[in-house]
Amino acid sequence: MHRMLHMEPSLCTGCLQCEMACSYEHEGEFNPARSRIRVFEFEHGRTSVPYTCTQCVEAWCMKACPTAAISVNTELGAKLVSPEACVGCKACVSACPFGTIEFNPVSGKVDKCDLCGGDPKCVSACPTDAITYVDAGASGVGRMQASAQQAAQGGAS
Amino acid sequence: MQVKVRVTGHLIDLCPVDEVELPEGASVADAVAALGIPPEQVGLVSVDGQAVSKARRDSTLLADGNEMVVMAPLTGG
Amino acid sequence: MSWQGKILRVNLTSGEVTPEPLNMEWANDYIGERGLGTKYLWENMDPKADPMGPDNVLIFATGPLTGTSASTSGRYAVITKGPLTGAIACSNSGGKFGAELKYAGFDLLLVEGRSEKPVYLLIEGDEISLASADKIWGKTVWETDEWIKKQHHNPMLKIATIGIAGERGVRYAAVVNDLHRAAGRSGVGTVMGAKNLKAIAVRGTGGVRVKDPQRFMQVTDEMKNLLAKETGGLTKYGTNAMMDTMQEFGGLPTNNFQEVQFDGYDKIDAKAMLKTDDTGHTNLLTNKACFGCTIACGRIAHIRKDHFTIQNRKEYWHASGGLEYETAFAFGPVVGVDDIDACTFAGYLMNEHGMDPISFGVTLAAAMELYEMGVITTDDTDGVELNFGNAEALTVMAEKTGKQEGFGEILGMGSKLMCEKYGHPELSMTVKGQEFAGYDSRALQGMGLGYATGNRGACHLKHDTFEVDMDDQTGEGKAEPCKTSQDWTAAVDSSGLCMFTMGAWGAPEFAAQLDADSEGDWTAERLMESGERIWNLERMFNLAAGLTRADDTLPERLLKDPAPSGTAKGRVNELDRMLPEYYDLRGWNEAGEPTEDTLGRLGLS
Repeated sequence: MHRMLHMEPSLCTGCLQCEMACSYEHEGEFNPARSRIRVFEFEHGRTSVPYTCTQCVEAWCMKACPTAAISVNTELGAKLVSPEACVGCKACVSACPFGTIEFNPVSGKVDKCDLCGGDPKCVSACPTDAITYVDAGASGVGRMQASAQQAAQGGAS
Repeated sequence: MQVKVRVTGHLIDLCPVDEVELPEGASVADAVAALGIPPEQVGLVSVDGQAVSKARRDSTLLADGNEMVVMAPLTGG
Repeated sequence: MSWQGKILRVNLTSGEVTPEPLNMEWANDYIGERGLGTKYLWENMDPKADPMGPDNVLIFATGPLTGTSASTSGRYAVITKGPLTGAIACSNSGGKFGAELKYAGFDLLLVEGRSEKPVYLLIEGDEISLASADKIWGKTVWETDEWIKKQHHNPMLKIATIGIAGERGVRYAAVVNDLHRAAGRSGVGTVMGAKNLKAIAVRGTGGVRVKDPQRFMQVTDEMKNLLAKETGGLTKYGTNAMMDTMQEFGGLPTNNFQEVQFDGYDKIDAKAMLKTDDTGHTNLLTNKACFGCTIACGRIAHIRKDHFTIQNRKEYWHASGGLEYETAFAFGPVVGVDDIDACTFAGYLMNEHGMDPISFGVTLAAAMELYEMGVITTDDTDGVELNFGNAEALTVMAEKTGKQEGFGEILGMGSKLMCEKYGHPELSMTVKGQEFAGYDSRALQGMGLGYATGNRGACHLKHDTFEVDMDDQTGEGKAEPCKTSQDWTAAVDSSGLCMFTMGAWGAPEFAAQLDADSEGDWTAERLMESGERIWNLERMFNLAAGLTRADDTLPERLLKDPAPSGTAKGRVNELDRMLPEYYDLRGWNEAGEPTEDTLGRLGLS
């Protein structure tokens, strides 16, 4: 089954364990600055939102890359960067409308979410299930269900 | 016999009732068990305002109309 | 391994910033954070120095586990000589600042001297500078945070700053980081202001590594599972879940500790924060975690827009930090107020202006008692009626104190100096000049001993006798659990992790995580021994600063006036029984000084 990362901000507490898990997996150290997933806070922490690459099917980063360094893992749907082919031109960084591919000044390459080969570490690290790895064709089901429930309660009176 | 119950802190989630039916001769320990509260999650029990230490929970007997308060442990902060 | 191996010495007099190697011998003997900071303080200043002068040293210290994926790994400590107490001040904070300091490559910052003009320290990777703070001196904590991020085009900066209170010498000014976390007590922010240091802004892009990564990940995962089972009500309710327990127990200090129970408690406790009123407003919005924390006890709340405090003040309509137990106590029972929106607003002001809510609330309580006695009148209080229970007095005075206006200048002195000024020192509920937290010593005897012997004055966070105190309301057998918990808490405070894990993790659990993280072998025994060493070093600092056994005491009210109600009704604190037992257990002489044997055993001679 094709899966994707699903973010539920209402469950996110801003603990940043996901950022540490991601950087540890890819860099072998705890370093949120090198995490491919980031959590953003709004209104003094009222809302915390984890965000990362949404693995576009027609990816701007892939199309922008002049050395064809970005390819698709068809099994996962993940867009992967080949460090051998990447020259650090940052065309992809400019091209991505979501800001989820980032230049790494230490390696001279770009980093992005690669879904950890199908076992995303941010998911296992999240203590509140704010990040889950679900059926890519059904990530809206939870909200639809909540809306349906509300509609039924409204109609019942 | 009926004993009135109040709980504090997060114990409200374990025990949402405000009274409990107990057999005659029931002890404080029996009452805590009847309420489904694990003893290690109890900081202190008081009966009609009097503290009942852990050591005396088994021997302190309740009477009809007693007011029992089961307090959560304190954690600091 | 776990340490970056570097500290930053900041000399504000000369303007020089100098990286130095971390003293690993000290790190190994004192664990880190609180212990390590205390050792650096001891070695870098004369304890007799004026806390407000250039010879006071101000330290920001992380622990070996700060910035790792162990749960609650965001802690750091601010250590200095406290202007409120004249004793060692060690204040602990969470949020994100501490981890960021580590990622920037520094285990500890040591600030000495005094800047001629207001400055802020900027650390962006390896770019370090002292920049002019002329545009932010006079700005609030929140304005400063925003300004610095904009100025440097870097929203990722983490900022620890003082507010106006710290600039103007409020004796209990705090260092606030990440908008609403704080190193709150003993005037650590006051020292920062006295040095003309407005803020420290850090961005770190380096990483933290551990000694044995595979074992570390495995152990910390196990510990997270343990923790998840044992947080009690902290995640759902925050620490304010304790208010109704303290009320039923009869240890909730009310009206400046004249009473130990408060009728209005259920209007401001954790459950009240969850109630939805008839306008659809609920005080609590969500819970929040500090860096690395899987408990998430933090509260985010908002105030009713039509409430008298903010109805015409749109700038306060946003969400921010909500009531914890201590803020609820300090703005609730101790001043007799049961208005949840007023209490929440007072909390906002504490973060915005950078002040310790506990010291402010208990100082205001003393002022209220002076007012009700007729010692001060509305002539002194800018026309404000300082009666217990007056919610408007609470919020008006909180704001005046933050901005140092009118009677706020008196309140900013702290209750000890204020009560002395008005000829009633007995109304100051303090130890060593620092105000009590929300646990009455007549009801919780061991807490009283801990308050009396605490190295930073009346403090509820450096020992833990709650379990024995609830079970036994006498002073019997309290010296041992007090001493042991003081040593143990010193170790926890030095690890980089949060003390709210102590309900789930004991010394073996901490040691297992530390051992996978840091060089050397870490065992439960070594942690306890290090904790005892840290406690004694703090004591040595205080003795050298001029404190004596006479300072290990409690106010008359707690020693002489019996608790009027509750399960400890009729009791006073039995300090005179507990103290000699405590000194003995500590290996101290009758004057409360560590003996040669004790110092030798701990490697402190």
